[in-house]
Amino acid sequence: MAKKLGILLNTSPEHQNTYTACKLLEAFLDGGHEAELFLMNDGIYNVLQNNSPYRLFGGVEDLMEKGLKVSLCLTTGDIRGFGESAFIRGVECRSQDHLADIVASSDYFLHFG
Amino acid sequence: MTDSVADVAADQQLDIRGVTCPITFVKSKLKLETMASGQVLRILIDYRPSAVNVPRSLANEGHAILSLTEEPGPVWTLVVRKG
Repeated sequence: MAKKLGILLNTSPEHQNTYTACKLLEAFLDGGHEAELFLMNDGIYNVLQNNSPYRLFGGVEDLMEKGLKVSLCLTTGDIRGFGESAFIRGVECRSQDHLADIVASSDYFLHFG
Repeated sequence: MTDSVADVAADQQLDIRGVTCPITFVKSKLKLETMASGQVLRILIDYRPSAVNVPRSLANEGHAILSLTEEPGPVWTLVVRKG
């Protein structure tokens, strides 16, 4: 039976957390399960449209093509000077109530802070 | 006869200008909990991310978004009918 993994990621693209979290999500998706990623604070930098290709892990878009759902906290984007149009297509700009929904709907929930 | 949105009088008003996410959603949700189903709440917001998220979050909770208008400031006026 398919399970759901939810991850909250607060760290920037060059942080080891980002690599670890995304590899976990990838393994889950490859196993036929459901996965959802919520980005907050510096985590939002992982889904900027004009990101450099030279970063530790640039595969969030690739994971989205495998079915990863990605949303972010628009307030922490706004604090960093980014509005909705700054992020890659398919990423939902949301708020903390959506994070609560992810926690409630996940079989496993991990926080990489 | 169906009311056009502009004619719907608000039963109560909530001014959350100066408040940011996620507290804007919390205050709106708590206010609606004090109201009866079908009553209309007008919410004043001056924070763009909240103008994006509060309507969507309230709709997810089963409330009807009657209108969302932006005026100079900017200030957003969100009119919601409690579900």
